[in-house]
Amino acid sequence: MNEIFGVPMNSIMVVLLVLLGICLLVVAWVALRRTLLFKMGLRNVPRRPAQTVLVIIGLMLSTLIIAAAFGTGDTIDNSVTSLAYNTLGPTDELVLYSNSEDGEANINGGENQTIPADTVQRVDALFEGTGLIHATMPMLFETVPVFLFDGAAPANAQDMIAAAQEGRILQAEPSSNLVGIDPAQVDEFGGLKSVDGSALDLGTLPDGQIIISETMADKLGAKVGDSIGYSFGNVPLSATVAAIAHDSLLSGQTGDNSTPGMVMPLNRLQLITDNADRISMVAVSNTGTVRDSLANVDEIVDKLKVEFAGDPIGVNSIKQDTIDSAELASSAFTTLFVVFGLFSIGVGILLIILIFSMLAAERRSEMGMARAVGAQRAQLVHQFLSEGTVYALLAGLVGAFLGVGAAYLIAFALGKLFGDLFDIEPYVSPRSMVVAYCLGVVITFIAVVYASIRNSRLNIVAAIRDIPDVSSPVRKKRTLVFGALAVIIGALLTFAGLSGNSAFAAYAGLSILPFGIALFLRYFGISSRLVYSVVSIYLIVLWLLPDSVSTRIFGELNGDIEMFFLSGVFLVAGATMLIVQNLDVLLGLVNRIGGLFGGALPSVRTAIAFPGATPSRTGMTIAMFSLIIFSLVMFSTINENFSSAFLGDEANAGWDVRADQGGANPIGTSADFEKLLQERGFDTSQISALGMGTTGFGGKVRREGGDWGNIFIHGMDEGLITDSAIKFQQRAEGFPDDASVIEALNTRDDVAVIDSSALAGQGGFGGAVEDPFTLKDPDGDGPQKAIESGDDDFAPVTVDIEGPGGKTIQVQIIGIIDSKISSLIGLFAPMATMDQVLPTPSLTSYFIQVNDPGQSEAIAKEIEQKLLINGVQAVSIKNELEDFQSQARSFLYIFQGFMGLGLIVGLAAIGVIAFRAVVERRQQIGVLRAIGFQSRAVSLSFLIETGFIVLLGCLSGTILGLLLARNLFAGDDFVEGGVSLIVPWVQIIIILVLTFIASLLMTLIPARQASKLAPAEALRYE
Amino acid sequence: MAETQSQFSIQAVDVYKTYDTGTAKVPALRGVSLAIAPGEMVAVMGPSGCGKTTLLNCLSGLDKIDSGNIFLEGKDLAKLSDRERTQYRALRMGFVFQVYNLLPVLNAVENVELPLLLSGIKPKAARERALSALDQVGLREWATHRPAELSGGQRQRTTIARALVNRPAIVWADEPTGALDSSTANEIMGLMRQLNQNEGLTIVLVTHDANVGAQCERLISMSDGLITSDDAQVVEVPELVGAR
Repeated sequence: MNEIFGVPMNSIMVVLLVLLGICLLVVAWVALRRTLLFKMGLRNVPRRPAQTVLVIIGLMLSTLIIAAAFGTGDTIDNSVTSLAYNTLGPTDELVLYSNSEDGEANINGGENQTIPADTVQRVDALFEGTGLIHATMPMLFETVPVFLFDGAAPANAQDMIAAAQEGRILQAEPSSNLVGIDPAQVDEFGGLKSVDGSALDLGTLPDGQIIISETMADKLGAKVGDSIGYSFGNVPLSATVAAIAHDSLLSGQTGDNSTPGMVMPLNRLQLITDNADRISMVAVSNTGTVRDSLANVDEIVDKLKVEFAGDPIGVNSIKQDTIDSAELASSAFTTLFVVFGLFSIGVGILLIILIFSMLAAERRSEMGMARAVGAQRAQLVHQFLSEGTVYALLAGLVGAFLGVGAAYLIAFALGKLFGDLFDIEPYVSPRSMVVAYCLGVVITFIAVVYASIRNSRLNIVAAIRDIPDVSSPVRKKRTLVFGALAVIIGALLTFAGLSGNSAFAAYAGLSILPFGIALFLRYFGISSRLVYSVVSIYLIVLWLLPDSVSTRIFGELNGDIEMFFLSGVFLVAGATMLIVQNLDVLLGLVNRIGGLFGGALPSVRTAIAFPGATPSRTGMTIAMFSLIIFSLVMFSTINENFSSAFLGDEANAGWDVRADQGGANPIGTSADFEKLLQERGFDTSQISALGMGTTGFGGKVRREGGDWGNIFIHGMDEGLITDSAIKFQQRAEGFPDDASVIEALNTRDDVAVIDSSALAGQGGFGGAVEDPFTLKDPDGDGPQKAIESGDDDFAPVTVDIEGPGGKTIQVQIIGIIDSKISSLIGLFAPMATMDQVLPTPSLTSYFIQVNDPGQSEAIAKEIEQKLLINGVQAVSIKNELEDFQSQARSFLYIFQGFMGLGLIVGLAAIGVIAFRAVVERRQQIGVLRAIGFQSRAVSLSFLIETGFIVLLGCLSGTILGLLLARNLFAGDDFVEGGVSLIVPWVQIIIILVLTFIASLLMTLIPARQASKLAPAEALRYE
Repeated sequence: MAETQSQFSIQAVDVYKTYDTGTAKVPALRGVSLAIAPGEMVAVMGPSGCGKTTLLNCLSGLDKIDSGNIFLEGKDLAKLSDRERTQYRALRMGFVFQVYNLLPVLNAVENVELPLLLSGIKPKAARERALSALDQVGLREWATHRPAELSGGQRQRTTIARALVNRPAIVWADEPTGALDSSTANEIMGLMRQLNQNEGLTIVLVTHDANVGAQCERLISMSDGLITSDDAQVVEVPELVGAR
């Protein structure tokens, strides 16, 4: 992975190394110039070994999370690039069919078209003597269905259908690559190798034999000597498996494991497919090794484009593109994991501050004494820094290594999920380790500096006597300065955000601003409870404003996934301040209902009173749990609601079964499809409606003057247009209802409709994989001119469509398909319109409505069986959507698990606090025991205290998460028209109960320690 | 619960207690015997480290002894479980310490009513008795103030209110005036004397202040873990089985 957030990883590493260097220099300065303070700091490390271990565990979590996020990115990068290198081998570019003006060729558009066989000679001649390339090879590609028979493969279509009906087809792959390559050139491209590594000689492959790829062998369950059948042009053919080759382009594997491949000599395939003197592509291998051949790729591509300008031939720099996609995907993954990990990192920072506040509290008397005998505040800071840096350096190491472990765990989970597509190969680069380590140490160092400065501000007398600091009535100018700073920063951010339509800046500014005002009010003596309670309520209201209200107040603002984190931070800050400032209200409540607690009342009362005495500690702990629970509740609620919205009754647009078919065995129109089914003995009276659609995988679309974006393009026949239960969430002006849009699609050739992911502000989950096509205004005038989700109508938008073959047409978007119809994804135009850019579609789909939708799955199976020879793959659309959702949900569970790492931080905090509380309250425990607290009541008090704090955090996180989720779903941001919020109570309750139990377990040991304190010994402790 | 009829409120027979610091064994009590009658107000005096606080802790059941016997109102402490000892403290004892030892997170009345709640008194009744106890020490108006908002004398009076709220038989006080100026100390001692005389409380206090000692009706002096003098009228310590 070379980039994250658009910044090169090398630059990030250099900056972080410099920052780490600065941190270490500061400590080195302390060591040299303040040796005694340095030694004092260092000697504290081994003073309490158990505490040191806990501190290191607490501090390492940020590094762990960062390392895991980067490691996951590396794993994706490594898996995809390895796949690319292993599959492509020495092949760097492909020269194939294209009509594109820029000379680019799309592999999806070009595979089904052929070019003259002499193209290979033109390429050879072009590079002769240049030293740029070392070999070329002609290739012919066809997509065919393949079957493994029980016994010999049938010789004709009828026998094949009969075999299917008799159950003699053991396994079928409706869409497989059949590739023909020139045996003379194979060795120049790495050679065909069997799975055991021995070389395979394609040149001597007898007639009637074929070599299949490892993936094909796995999918079919075929072995050498088995008889397989395939069909081309609806003619059945058969061959015996001569060998099983390692997966590569040469054995027909083009990338992922979804499409298996098989190979025969080029001239034999040319004969079968009636393509004499025609090939699909020329594979070009650059000079250099497999992993080091891209230095001259631009020059080579440019030369090829010039050579073939004017011919319907283009260039695809397949290796470079695949490596770039790997980089993009890994960067997107890392970004997602980092953004979702921000919650845990934020909680980790709170923990660091908390730990150092605890250490300071423990040494308060010592610090007071040091100050009394002349130590400056800065010197106390130096002492803490020395100690903190040792912890940070050690914790960084532990965190980085455990982060690698976490990355491997995530890779394992991803492998389980996507293993069918490609192998996940866990890998964490040394650079990522360095970046994670440095970032972890630097974050810890900064948090330690902050905590140390905070700790150094102590009342010397109060510290020596270890009694509570009495707040000074003297007004501090510092309050005014910080207040002014907060107001200025808040105002600037708000202004920048509102004028630049940035939701992040505007909301951050609007959230910081009241803190500045609060500090002013505090300076003038207004009570802390009043001021901060008002600020809290303001923050909660601001962040929970319904979208319609906030848009009216602040206008349209652009926000992305980072708003998820920002909203969490400020909502939780607001709720936590409100709770902490009003804790005594809760105590009053306990007093009022005291009788309900019976004999446990004394324990309950002390348990609830102690948190109120240490508001900042309590606040930080509540905030930690609140933040993590907020993120988990919000995430699982969104996940659940998306699933439900996309699996609703309208999701399948009224169609029950879809039959997909590749290009090698064309069937024709809907009527041809129905006729063929009848011929094969299928009872077509089960069908109530039929429609046909075509799909181009390599389609592109752009608004006039805008950039091209990738999109699936589809043609629709009249049946598909008319009989689809399509609803439009928005329509262009002049189209008052859905019927008028359908009418236009049936009668005009210049209109199209598009799914709602193209809307402005709907830039896809994560948004970083690749800027998807959106209907944003290309002139950069801001989003006002784009079609926004929720606009009832819009001016028709003219777009250019480019087919996979490079041809372009212009259409008007007149409708946005309702997002609840999740089975229709991409841009849809009338068939005649789309045929212009999609003469040979990547896929032809027949949409079928059946009389009894409950039989969809059985009907799909029957259709697939009847049309197996044609390579038809039929699915129940409902089942397909459910499978897709189930996979998506599992993927999101991985994120949820990753976010749950923050809970460990919270639990560590609970442990640190509880252990500390036992030490701090030793004397008070003695008194309680003296006046009659049973030892069990002491431990009960500790457990109730933990439970109380965790409960407050969990409750506030849950309520905030649900309120924000409700806001999103009640509005029209995600699902047009809004839906009533589905709350995944079971999941939420499981999260809360587990958190609660784990917190109590963390408190169990310190609580037992406290209960076992001998009263006399505890009282003697001073 | 082990119980014998006794004319004494507190009885100690040949009590030994040694602290083991890990590197050395420090004898704190070396065969202490004494008996205190109900309603007595006794001061234990001696130099720092003579074992007076240890004696108080052992007599009150806060600390365990190595050998000997201690009887409180006829009950043999050694035969009580930790739970029974704790319950006995909650019901029959009050404590006053030098450093007040109030819970800083609770206000005065909440601190005072804590022993009542522990004894199972209903919250409402507990509150009434706590306020009455505070009234007795002149602090009713300060009931809702937290310890940090009270003066040293007020805090110690709150501690005394907490000690007597359960109407205990015995009040233990460890340097009750140690952190107070002389006039506040006199005020506190006056209050304790008054409670001793009016309520018939047995009070055992530990002090190194001769003025405080002088205000008690009986003075026990200690040195090196031994009682060196005791101005008790007549004290006969009965022979007990198992006593050293």
